[in-house]
This record gives sequence, C-alpha cells and structure tokens, in this order.
Amino acid sequence: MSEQFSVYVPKLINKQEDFVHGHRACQGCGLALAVRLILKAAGKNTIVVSPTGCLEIISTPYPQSAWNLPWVHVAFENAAAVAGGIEGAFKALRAKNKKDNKKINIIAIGGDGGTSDIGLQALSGAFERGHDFLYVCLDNEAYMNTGIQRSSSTPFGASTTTSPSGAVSMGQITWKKNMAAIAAAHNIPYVATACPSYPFDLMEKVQTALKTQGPKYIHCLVQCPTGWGCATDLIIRLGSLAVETGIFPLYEVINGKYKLNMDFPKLRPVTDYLKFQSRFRHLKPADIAIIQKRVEQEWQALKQKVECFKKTGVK
Amino acid sequence: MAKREGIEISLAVAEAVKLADVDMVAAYPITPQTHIVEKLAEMVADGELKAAYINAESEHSAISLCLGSSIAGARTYTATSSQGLALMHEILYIASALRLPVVMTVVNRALSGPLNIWGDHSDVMGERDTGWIQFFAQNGQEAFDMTLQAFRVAEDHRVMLPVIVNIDGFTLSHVIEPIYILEQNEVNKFMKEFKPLNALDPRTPMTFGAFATPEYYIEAKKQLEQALFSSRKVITEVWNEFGKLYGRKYTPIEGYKANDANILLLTLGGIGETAQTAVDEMRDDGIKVGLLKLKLYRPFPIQELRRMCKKAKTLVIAERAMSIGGEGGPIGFEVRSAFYNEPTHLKIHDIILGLGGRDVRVEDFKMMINHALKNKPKEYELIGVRE
Amino acid sequence: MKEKIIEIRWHGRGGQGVVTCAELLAKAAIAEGKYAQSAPSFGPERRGAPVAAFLRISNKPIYLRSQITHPDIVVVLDPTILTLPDVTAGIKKNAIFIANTNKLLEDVKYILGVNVNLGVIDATKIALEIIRRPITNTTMIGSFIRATNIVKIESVKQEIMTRFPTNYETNIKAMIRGYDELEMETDANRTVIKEKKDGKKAMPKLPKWRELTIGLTTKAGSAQAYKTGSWRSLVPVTDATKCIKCGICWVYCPDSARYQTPDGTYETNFDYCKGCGICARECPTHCITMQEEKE
Ligand SMILES: Cc1ncc(C[n+]2csc(CCOP(=O)(O)OP(=O)(O)O)c2C)c(N)n1
Ligand code: SF4
Ligand code: SF4
Ligand code: SF4
Ligand SMILES: [Mg+2]
Repeated sequence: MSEQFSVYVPKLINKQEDFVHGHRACQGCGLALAVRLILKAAGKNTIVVSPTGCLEIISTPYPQSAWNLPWVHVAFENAAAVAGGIEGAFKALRAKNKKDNKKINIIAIGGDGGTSDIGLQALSGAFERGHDFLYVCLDNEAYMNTGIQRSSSTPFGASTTTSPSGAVSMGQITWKKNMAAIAAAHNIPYVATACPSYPFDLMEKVQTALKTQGPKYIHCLVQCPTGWGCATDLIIRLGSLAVETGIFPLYEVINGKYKLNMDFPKLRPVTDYLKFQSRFRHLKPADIAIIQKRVEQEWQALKQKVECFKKTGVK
Repeated sequence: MAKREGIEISLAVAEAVKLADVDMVAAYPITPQTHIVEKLAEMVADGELKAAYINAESEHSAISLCLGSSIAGARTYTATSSQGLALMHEILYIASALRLPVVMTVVNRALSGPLNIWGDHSDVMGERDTGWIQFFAQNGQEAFDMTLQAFRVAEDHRVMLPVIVNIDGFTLSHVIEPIYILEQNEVNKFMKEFKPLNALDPRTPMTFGAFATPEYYIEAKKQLEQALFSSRKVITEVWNEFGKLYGRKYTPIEGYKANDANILLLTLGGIGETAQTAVDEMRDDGIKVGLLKLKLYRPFPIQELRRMCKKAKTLVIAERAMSIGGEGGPIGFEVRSAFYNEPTHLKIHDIILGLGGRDVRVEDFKMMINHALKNKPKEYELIGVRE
Repeated sequence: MKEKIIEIRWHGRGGQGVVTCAELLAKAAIAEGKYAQSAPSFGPERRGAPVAAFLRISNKPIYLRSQITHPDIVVVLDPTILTLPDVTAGIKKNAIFIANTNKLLEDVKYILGVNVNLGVIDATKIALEIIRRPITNTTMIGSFIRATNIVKIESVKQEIMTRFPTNYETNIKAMIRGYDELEMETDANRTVIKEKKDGKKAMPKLPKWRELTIGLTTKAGSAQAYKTGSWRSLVPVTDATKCIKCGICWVYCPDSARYQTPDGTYETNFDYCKGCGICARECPTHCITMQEEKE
C-alpha cells in the first residue's frame, strides 16, 4: 500500500453514497468502486451520463436504479455527445434566463470500448468543441459487458474471448491505445490517469477536474476480476501493482504540462502484476520480456515529458 | 400581419425554427439540408436567434446532442438528409423511447449507393418504425407551418414524442416561392412555453434510459405505441387551433376532387401538387379522377384513408421509395394491408417513380391513371425505367 | 427413459459452472444419439449472483423452445442458495431434487418446504478435496447421473475430456465421487413433510403498461431494494476488538457494505455484502476474516 492513509479516513471522505448498494456488479468489481468514489468527490450537484456497458447494465435494470444523482444512458458510442448536449442546453437556457446560474457538474463515465473505440469520434468532437464537462473512462481493458472481448485498450498479451491465446496465438498482439495522450492532444486543460486503488488520488483528480473550466479527461484503470481472471479480494493490490510496475503510471497533464503523481526509483518487474491474472497465464518468458521492455520505454518517455516541462517551465 | 414573401423554402423553415424560439440546434451538414442549418447558424451568429448552435462532428452525434439537450429541458431542433438520417437511425428509436420532443426536418434525399444527392423518400421510409411522428409537406407554406406545429404537438404533455417534418430535397428545399411568414407576435399566440415532463436536475434526481428485461420491454413498447396513437387527438387540436388563428386548414389526408372520384391517386410530399394539375387536366377530359395527399404518415391515418376511398373503385399510389425484393413500396404495403379486411373492391396499384431525383411530371400521372383505367396494370410497377 | 421430454433446471452462482453442467450433459446425450437442448439464462446478473441454466433431454426430437417453468429435475450447485424461492419455483410434484449441502437429508427437505424426491451430496467438500477449488459442477453431474440415469457416465467422461483437456482427470474423479456418494431418498424411505405455503415462488406482480413511468424513468437510488447479500458464499467476520476504526474497509468496499457502528468500529451490512473479501485483504490490523457462508 503506497498511498498513506491517515487514520480515520472517513472524516476526510464524503459519507454520502450516490452509487448505492444493490447494484449488480460482480463481486469485487473495481469499476463499481471507482464510480462510488468519483461520485463522492463530485458531490450532489452532478449529472452523470453513461454509455452502454457494464456500468449501465449493473446499475439500471428497470424499474431500479443505483444512481442517486440524475443519470442518463442513450447508447454505446455517444456519451460525450449526450453530455455535450446537456452542457450546451444549460448554457443556452442560462443565457435566456430560463435557468439559474448554479454550477452543475456534468460527468460522462464510460468503459474503454465506449471511449477509445466506438465512442472515440464523439469524444473527440466534444473535446474539440470545448464543452465544459468531465469525461471519465473506466478502463477494465476489454468489452466486459458482452463477455470479455478485446478492445483497443486491451494490453498486449492479454487473452480475451476475441483475442484468445492458442497454439499459434499469444492473445492480444496490439499495444494498448494511449487514450490519455489522445485526450491531451486535444489541448484540453486537464487530463489525468487514476485508479481506485488510490482513492484519495482519484477523488482529488475528480475535484481538480471539476474545478477546471472546459473539457477534462480522466483515464481510470479499473480492476475486473471476472475479465482479468484474478481473485476478487486482490483487486486493490493489483491496481497498486499496475502502478508500481510502471504498467499504468499515475500522472496529470495540466494545460499541456505533464506531472508524475507517483515516481519510483525502480519499477517492480511486470511479472509481479501479470502473475495474478489468468488472462496473462499463457505468456512465455520471452513475451514477458517484450512487455517489460516496452513498459520501461514508455515510462522513460513519460518521465522525459515530465522533465522537459520542469526545465522549460512551459505553461 | 403575416408577410407574403418570395423565399427559399429552406430559409422559411429556418424562419419557423427561429420564430419557435428554439434553445438549441445541433446539426451536421449534408446536401440538401445545408441551407436550413447555415441560415440558423447565421441567425445565431447575428444574435437574431438566442440559441446554442452546436456543430456536431457527425449526424450520430448531432442527434445525440439533441437528446442530451432535450433531456436537459431545452427546446431542440435539428435537420438532416439521407446518409445523415441513416447514421442517426440507432438513436431515433431512443429519442422516442425516452419521450423527448425533438423536432427534425428531414430534407428527403435518395440513399446511396450509388451516391445521389437528389430527392426521393428512401431515407425516411427507413425510419418508419422509430416511433417519431411524421409530417409530409407538399409546399413551402406547409413546410413553414408544419415546423411550428411540430413543436406544439411534440411538447404537449399528452404526447411528448419527437417529430419529423419531411420536405422533398431540392424540389421543395431549394425552391423560392411565395410563403406567408408569420410575425413573432402572431406566432407567440400559437406557441407555448416548453415545460419538460422530467428533466435532468440534481434537485430532483432521476434515472433516464434504464434497460428493460423481457418482463418490461413489451409494456414499454405498448406505452410508446399508445402515445403515438393518442397523439392524433392532439395533432387535430393543434391543427384546428392553427386553422382558427391563421386560416390554413390541415388534415391528415388532404383530398382534392376526391369526393366523387372513381379513381384516386395517393401521393406524399411535393409531387402532390404536380398530381393536382394532372387531376385537373384529366377532369377536363371527363375522367372522374381525384387525389389524396398524405400529410400525416405517423401515426398512420388508416380510418381517414378507408373513409376517403369508400366510393372509389381504384387507388393508384405514387410513391418515391422502394422496398427492394418486396414486390412494392413501403406505402403500397401499408395501404394494401389497410384494405385487406375491408369489404371493398378497391383495386390498388402501387407505382414507384421519381427515385434519386428523376423528374415527376404531369404526364406521368396521366399515364398511370390511363393505364389503371384501360389496361390491366400490375399490382406493383417501377415506372420511368429505360428498358 | 420414458418417451417424454425431461426438463432439468440447474441453479448456482455466476461463475460456478451451472451452464457447463447443462452443456456437458446435453453434448453427452447427443453423442448417445438422444436429443437434447441446453440454454443459459440470459440475465444481466454478474459473477456471484444466483443464476440458472436449462436442459432438456429426450429420445425424440424436441420441438419446444420456451423456457422451462415446471422442471422434472432440479440440481442446486451452491449450498447457500437453497433457500431462494427461485430454486423450488414451479417444480413438479415429486420431482427429483439434488442439492449440494452438508446438511442432513431430512433437514434439507424441511428447508425446501416441498415434497420432492430429494438427494443430497456434500459436493463442496469433494470438490475441495479433489479439484482444490469449490467448483462443484462436475461432482454434481455425477450425482445427477446417479439419481436420474438419463445419460451414461462414460459419455459424460468423453465430454469432460474434450472440455478440460488439462485437468479432466480431477474432474472425472470428482464426478465419480459425486455418483458414489449421493444420498438419495427411495420410495421406501421417503420423508413426507407439510409443504410450506411459500415454498413455491409466487409470480411477482408486474406493472401493467399503463403503470410504467413515461419514458421509463426510474427513481433515484431505488436499487437498494435489491439485496445482493444472497450473492455471497464467503462472509467477512469482524473482530471489533482489533478494529482501529481507520475506515479503510469502508473506503474500498465496491458495494458500500461496511458501516460504522456507534462505537466507531466497522461492521458489515449483510444485506448487500457480496463477499468479495477486499475488506479482509485490505484491513491493516487483519481483524476481518472471510468465513464460509452458512446455509
Ligand atoms: C452500436 C453498438 N454496438 C455494440 C454494442 C454491444 N455492446 C454493448 S456494451 C459493449 C462493450 C462495452 O465495453 P466497454 O465500453 O469497455 O465497457 P465495459 O462493459 O467493459 O465496462 C458492447 C460491444 C452496442 N450496445 N451498441
Ligand atoms: S465484468 Fe468486470 S467490470 Fe463488469 S461488473 Fe463484473 S467485475 Fe465489474
Ligand atoms: S479496515 Fe479493519 S481496522 Fe480499519 S476500520 Fe475496517 S475493520 Fe477496522
Ligand atoms: S466482503 Fe467486504 S468489501 Fe466485499 S462486499 Fe463484503 S463488506 Fe464489502
Ligand atoms: Mg471495458
């Protein structure tokens, strides 16, 4: 556990539960945990938009809903557009004095498929238009809702139902799409990565984002025991291991400036993370070596970006 | 007083949208819809129309933006054509299921392929079952009037459904003709304030867009179907009120010399007026022909249709869409089935013409009628094809 | 086997292999030249939630695709769901009922509250001994074959070998022990109980279409009416004397199922706890232990 908990954490955390129990997520679902924490950070004046995916299915079987906040689902590929429509409407209604000026947070929360694949166009459009909203991608690294099919966010080497490992296959053969970098390339004011294993970090980022004007993006790794093939009680550890191995670094890009939130003098070997998950079980040492090398390269590249901004002080 | 203006129909539609004081327009350009949205963007830029104009990056997002906007409580408008409408297809069903009163102009255009930017009804026929109310305008005045009426019907709490106003691509959209453009104060007598039934609001949190298991889905669909059926009453009310205020009468099917006709034509959209001229000329020749112009396509006015065809022996449908492989067009199927259990001897001929912007002329209608009277025409025929 | 279609319903939790049971037996029956149909229940429930799978077996072609509502045979893979009403819903009189349980046959009969032809087997114990995981599907297949004699154990062996190429041996062993150790009522020693009224699941009263909300809006937070406590097979037990009131368990619980008691320590809300074990794993003083859920 590298995040320091001060004793009596509940004092520091909003007690209100806006993602209520009774939701149908699997035992030990990191996605459900992340949503719970995000809503704690966002507070009451918040509207949430979700695309189709695990989150929508586990939370809203008619006539029940796990959402204590206003929430809307339309389809799989358009959460960012729907959120943009809400934001645009509020703006117009305020300009016409049809709505008070009280700030309402608009948060779209989608899966990796709904974000980096089918929803990427709508997201890019919403970023480019500059809607004042926060988009959170809950990245469980596959299409979990439909039965663990690969997405462009599935990591290299992972076995999924559509990128299965086999006699002549090592599972997913493409590298995980870097959504945070894609978001940052839109020159939006705030981009961050997060993971519910670090609840304070995640909540702080949500709050920072909501204080920032314009489009914001948080890419949140969420553990999925069902899709990853790991023990349900291990998920918090796994999130930390993803960070400590450098597989999923925690950083922010504030107005284009990179900031590493958690640095390590030495990264843990990737096997520390991979070995707890059956989706990586088939990997041979040579495959793991490829992953190790790539992780180190990307870690160095990230650190260079951070250093470069430190030196030049580019704002 | 309303001003009689020579104005392009697309611009008249934009005027109506402005007079309706919409809060939000989200759209993506496609020929032949462009003039409407360009005009709206200009109105917003000039401060004439106080609304958010959002440039979507696709029609799929345009309609999604509209759903978000409508559910946030804003009066919302969009327009599209052809491929754009097809791209919206998935979301159209959700708009009606969520009961969101979005108004959309569909400037009807042929669907690819081959790519073709000209008019026919193949785009909107694909959206028949989406749960939207659908009007068909036959001229610029109707396009203008129906746009205003659409908001009133859609936003009525007894309805709460999205509405499409169909206008033919180019042959209506790009035509300049005299149109009575109402003044704002006149329109204000007709329009009402938009009060959403439910809106996204942290003070009254609610969940929109839940999924329904097999135990609920059919009931949900029944609710939607009933809403669409019951909208008839509101549509009639709104049309009556409109007629009283401005003197223009609207009915689901407009009959022209139809009462004593023994042979009837049925049209949708702008070709109705050409058909009207054909009817006049044939009446001069002593043929007892009449015309039915379908203005309300959804909910389908089946009772009116049956009633208006009571005396006729033959009905010739002239429609601008195919149902490839289906031995007829979409209107043909619907009309034929409307009479299947009726004790009539109505002969029905389904003629498809004017696809992809092919001109529809007075002679075409004359030929259809003559065929129907003399020869034994086929039940279904695609005409105007070079053999 | 009679000429009629035998309808079998399997109960377990998502992830325990109920669907596999139905599939393996269907394939085995088909391989014997019979006709069979297996189907999962297509619900949104996730891992841990009670789920069902369906199987039809017949000597003649099956011309029936509707759901099985009145099963001839019910098999329950998980001891902690025996009391759920779904398990006995619509069950035929004197149907065969096979339960994974470590309880006495008479007690189970009483718990079920219906007069079935009952068989009991401690499949969890067998699975833990042989497979080293509480995955009881193959053991229960063994008991099923013994109780019903519908398919041959040999044909299921073949299917298990194809399905589990690397660990078929343990699975076959488990199946044979399930076969051997099933305790089954016979006509001679049948216990007859007074049936509980609520033994059979009453059809839930669903709203009419007019009663649905317009546009299917739902009330915020209404999912609390759904108690996920029944998903649990392990239960977190807290030693309050060791609790330092840090709240870490509360922060990390995906189901907000930990709460603070008046004395400041933390306890589990058993209505919702799904038994994932995160709280036990993350508690800095190790004052939570995961224990086997009682039936
Ligand atoms: C247009 C469309 N294509 C496909 C689907 C089927 N579908 C629903 S959810 C989903 C995958 C969701 O994956 P992701 O966004 O990663 O969310 P997760 O369930 O993993 O949290 C798919 C493929 C759909 N609903 N709509
Ligand atoms: S499949 Fe994964 S993401 Fe979906 S509910 Fe289960 S654990 Fe959560
Ligand atoms: S984590 Fe352990 S010590 Fe901390 S509050 Fe929970 S039970 Fe008590
Ligand atoms: S086992 Fe602990 S963390 Fe898991 S649901 Fe139960 S109380 Fe929550
Ligand atoms: Mg996913």
